[in-house]
Amino acid sequence: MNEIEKRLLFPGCLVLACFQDYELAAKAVMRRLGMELVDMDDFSCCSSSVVPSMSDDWINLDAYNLGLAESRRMDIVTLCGSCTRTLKQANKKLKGDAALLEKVNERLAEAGAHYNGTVRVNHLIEVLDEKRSLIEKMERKSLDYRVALSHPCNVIRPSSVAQFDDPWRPQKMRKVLEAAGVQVVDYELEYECCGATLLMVNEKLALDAAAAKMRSAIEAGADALVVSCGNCYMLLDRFRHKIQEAHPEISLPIMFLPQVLGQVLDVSCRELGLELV
Amino acid sequence: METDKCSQCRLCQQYCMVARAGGESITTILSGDSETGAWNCSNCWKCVEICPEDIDVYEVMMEKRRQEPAPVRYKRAFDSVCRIGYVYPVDEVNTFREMWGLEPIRLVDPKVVRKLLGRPWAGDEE
Ligand code: SF4
Ligand code: SF4
Repeated sequence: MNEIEKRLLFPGCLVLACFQDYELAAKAVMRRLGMELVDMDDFSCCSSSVVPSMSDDWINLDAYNLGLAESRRMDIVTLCGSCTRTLKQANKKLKGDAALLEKVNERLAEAGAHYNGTVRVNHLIEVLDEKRSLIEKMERKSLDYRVALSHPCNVIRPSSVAQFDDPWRPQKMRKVLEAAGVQVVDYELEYECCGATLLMVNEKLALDAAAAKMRSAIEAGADALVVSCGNCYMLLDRFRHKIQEAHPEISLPIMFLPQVLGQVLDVSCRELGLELV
Repeated sequence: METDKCSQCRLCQQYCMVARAGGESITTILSGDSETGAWNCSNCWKCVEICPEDIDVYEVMMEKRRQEPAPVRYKRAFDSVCRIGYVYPVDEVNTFREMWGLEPIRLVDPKVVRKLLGRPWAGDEE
């Protein structure tokens, strides 16, 4: 019997702290597709955009996490935008610059860690895209709702780092869902940023951007908006009451990508985090 | 310098949601239209993607930020990373994980993170 493929799940602290349902659904769907997402004990902050804003030493955090995965002989799967970008950014720099890798390893040694530059990092969308032909062949339930997509900017751009998809009109998330038979609607603001990171400095601008995007999706006939980043979910779902204070007519369920896919693949609601145990 | 290559074409501004809303961002700084704004950003990286001179607007923005005092939420987030190893509070994660039927996870020792960032606290070394 083939051994099941394993990758290390880098949950990121936002998903870890707030969105257990996303992690649960991602694990359940990947298990259905023949891959185990293994918990990453001892992972640290990915450095986000917070640490690089304050310190030149940000890259050490990413190198430490990459080193953890290397020592466990697994590649990394991510769930959020920022984690994906910083890990890929660091990885690209470290793989391309032996002197930098050596310098970073001096610091890592003080923390009992090491990185040789052998780990691959992929966001969940990319991993699902690799499994697209399998999804097409599986038994699928049809859904009675139509979805619009919100693409995670940090997974897509800068394209030199992301190596992901068309940087302006990314299609991978759509292709995965369409392979599963989900009805995906186009909408005018599909490729605009939701604005979540602006919550840090200008809440009004973030809420306005989110409202515009949601309105556009509703007008196009979407019954739900699919995200694949905790940060997007935070703004679009958890700030719903604030969005509705200014725009009471805007109401649109927000779902994580594996929750939608899991429903198609007939994974139970409990395993998708759509109902608490 | 990286920014010397800037031709002031202002394409990045046209793609920046902050600038389009009339605000200041790294894109208005680059073209000399403002002195401040490096923290006003949604991390969409369209500025990086569109720049015809291949300026690494991301790096330029981060370098500028490191020379300035941080807005309160950035400062708090960074302090949190130094204190607990993460941006978001994690003290109850294993209780939540159990509720959802997830296995417990071992969190990072914050001392490790402080070492990596070169910011040890008194008492970290014993
Ligand atoms: S990354 Fe920030 S500065 Fe650049 S275009 Fe997006 S919002 Fe504007
Ligand atoms: S797009 Fe590039 S060259 Fe044009 S103004 Fe912006 S940074 Fe300068």
